[in-house]
Amino acid sequence: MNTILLNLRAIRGRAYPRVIGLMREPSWIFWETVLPVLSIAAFIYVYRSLNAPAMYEGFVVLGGVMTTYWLNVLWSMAAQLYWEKETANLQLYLAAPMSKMSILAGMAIGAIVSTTLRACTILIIGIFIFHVNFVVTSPLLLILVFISTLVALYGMGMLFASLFLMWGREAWYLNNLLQEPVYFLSGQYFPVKALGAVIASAASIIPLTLGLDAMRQILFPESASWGFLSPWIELLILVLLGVFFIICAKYALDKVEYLGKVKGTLTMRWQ
Amino acid sequence: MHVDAIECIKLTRTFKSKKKIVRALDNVNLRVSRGELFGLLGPNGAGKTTLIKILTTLLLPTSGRAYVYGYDVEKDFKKIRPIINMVSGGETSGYGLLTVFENLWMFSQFYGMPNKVATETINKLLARLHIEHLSSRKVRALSTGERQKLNIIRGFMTAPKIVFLDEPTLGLDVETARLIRKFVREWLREDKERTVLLTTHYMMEADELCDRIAIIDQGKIIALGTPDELKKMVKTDVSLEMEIFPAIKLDWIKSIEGIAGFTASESNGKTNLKLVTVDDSVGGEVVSNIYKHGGKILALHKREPTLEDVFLKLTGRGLE
Amino acid sequence: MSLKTSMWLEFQIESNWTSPFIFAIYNIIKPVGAALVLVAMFYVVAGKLTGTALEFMYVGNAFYMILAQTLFSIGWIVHDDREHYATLRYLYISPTPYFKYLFGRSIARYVLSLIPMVVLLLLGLTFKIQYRINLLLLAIVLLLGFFFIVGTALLISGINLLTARHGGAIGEAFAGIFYLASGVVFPVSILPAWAQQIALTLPTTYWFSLIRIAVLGNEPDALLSVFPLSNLILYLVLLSIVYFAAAFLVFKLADGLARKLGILDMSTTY
Repeated sequence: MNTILLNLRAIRGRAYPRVIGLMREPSWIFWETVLPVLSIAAFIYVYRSLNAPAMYEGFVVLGGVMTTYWLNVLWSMAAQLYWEKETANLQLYLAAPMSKMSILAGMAIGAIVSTTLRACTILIIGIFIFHVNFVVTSPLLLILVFISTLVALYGMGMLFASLFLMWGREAWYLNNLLQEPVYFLSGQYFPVKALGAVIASAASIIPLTLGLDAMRQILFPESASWGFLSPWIELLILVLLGVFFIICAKYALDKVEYLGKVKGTLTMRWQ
Repeated sequence: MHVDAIECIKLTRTFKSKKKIVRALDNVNLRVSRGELFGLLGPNGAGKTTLIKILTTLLLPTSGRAYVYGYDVEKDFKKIRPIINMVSGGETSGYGLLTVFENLWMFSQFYGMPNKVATETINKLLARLHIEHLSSRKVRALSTGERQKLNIIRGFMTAPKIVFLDEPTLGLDVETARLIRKFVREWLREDKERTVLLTTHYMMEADELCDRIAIIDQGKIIALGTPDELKKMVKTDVSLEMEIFPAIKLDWIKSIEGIAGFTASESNGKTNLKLVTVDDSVGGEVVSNIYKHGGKILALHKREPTLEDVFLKLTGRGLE
Repeated sequence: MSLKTSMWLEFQIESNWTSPFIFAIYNIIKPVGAALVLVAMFYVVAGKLTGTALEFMYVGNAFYMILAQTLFSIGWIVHDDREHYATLRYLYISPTPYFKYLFGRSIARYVLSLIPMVVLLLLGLTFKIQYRINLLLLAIVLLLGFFFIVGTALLISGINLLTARHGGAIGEAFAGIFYLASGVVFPVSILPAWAQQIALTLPTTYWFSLIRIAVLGNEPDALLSVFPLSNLILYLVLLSIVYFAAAFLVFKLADGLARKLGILDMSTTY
């Protein structure tokens, strides 16, 4: 059996329930459109209450869009292994010949539809309701940064997912912990340069940090002084991060699977 | 070079908890030939599922070695996974909002099955297990028996060389259990290279299905052989079943010489006693003691030895 | 199952995955992260880390943690019981009403949520927030808050009996509505007029106003500062009663509908 074909089919197989689930349980559409409205609007009004320049509202919209993908990584991919373990699917996945990364990729791809809808909703709200003005100074760079950020994010997500092979609820809570602190460190709604060079540098390991910073500079040229590094350098780092995380994820998934088999926690529920 | 389907050499698995170390498997030595339907019989907590987890590459041994088709479960697990599959009793795998067909198709993709092959195989197996009419039904709407048939199809559709069945008929009605057993037997007969390892604590199921059985208790293999060979271990013994009214205490039984093992249960104010004794006279002594302690014997049967009797003799307690 | 038992259960589920120390750290890091986002947003605009606006949003956010954590956690319970632990059916058929069980868990969650609030208030000293705490008023407000927050959480649980496992999304949505429209981190007076009208129907609006009065000594929001203290308390009491009653009603309706449709123990994970 050709390994590439096996894993492509596995990705397709795991993505399928995600896509079908979206159609059969359509109530998610409401939540994926209502929730973004609420959080984005709230933070835009925060800036308005501070009489901030209009571009800051743009930061909120941009941060909201990218955070959507981060949440997808955390909850539709990494944490999903926890649910698979709890519903006894994980052991069947592990006993099958496909790669674990195929399962994770399938989950992520399957969730891309709802994630992208949420991201688009945020964009539409930002542009048409709050009149945020995006100026795309370099479409190519923007696309490259966006894609590189996603690849690095999803690579990081796969790395986190490995924790769920060994841990149970600890990993779920760790996942939970990676929301607000990451929003702060990555400069979700504000330029990360405000945190100082040291913190911003350390936070650059989170793909969101440099991705957001680069996109802010591309979409809001007047915010250039708030840019941490040049967008091209940030793109390069993001590409390197993507490669790094994917390689680490492969290694970590194998290693943690091995540890899980030694400790007997691979199939243990309710840890 | 011919390799066995399964080989375990001094296989041991321990689990550490805060208070103690649990020895789930203790120096297990086992060989299962290709084409065999091999049974692992033992009570709950004997180590059956632990052994299956090791052989299906989900758990590593603490010491010793295990091989599936000659591949080491620790080093060559990637070579084992394409040729095996597993089904557990009471399994709730898959996704409730997918249909039966969709769930099966999804799992087929994890084994790289081409669409056309997967579709044909699934439809064929749905018909064989008489649930073709459920193909479009959502899994969450299935009954327990229907769900288990789905699980069985999932386990067999990928054309594995070895299938591990962990209490596959647990909680099923008689008809469904019978159908599943028939399916397993027929599947084996279709190809001599196919092997099944079945764990169960239903001795009747092991007796009916298995070419050879290993009896496992507290992590150790305590007997190994064909059902007939095992039953011969108690052939010279006498197996008695008695129904006693009213229910009486049986502490005194242990003091009687010649009792290889016994189990007793109470229901509806009666005691049901199963005995394995070394000869008939011991049975007589038991009967007179029953009367001495105020009981009356409503029914007494002498029966052919069963695997439960074997277990009873070897461990002094029943399988349930 | 008594209230005490369900409270105990909530505490166990929330905390027994780790040591008490790690649990404490976890309960602090998340809210601190959320607070620091707001502080950073303030800083990039104002260029400093002190000011009335910062006090407004900081205190609002600290107490919002109670609301958000309770709604989010309780929003999960039905799905968790139904599809993760598979205990929903057994709880349902027990003599204890499921509503009572949820109520007990909500109490525990509410109490646990007070801890990060206290930590955040202490951290606020770093930003030189001028606290003028009226302990009695604060205690009354927290008690009143318990009723409408727990009421809302129970309302969410009722809805969850009928919905797929979208996790805390529903709880998040409710928390988000309150965050946007109740003057949590910015004055209600800067919202559009129609949104202000909506804000005035939410118990959270009055709750956060009373919080500010109890903690900061005044209400900076131009729209709410016109209300006397007694009116704020009265509106909060009335709306809390309405919310709690609505929660009970919605729960009963949802319970009946779920059993009628046979979806009480459905599996929706995908």
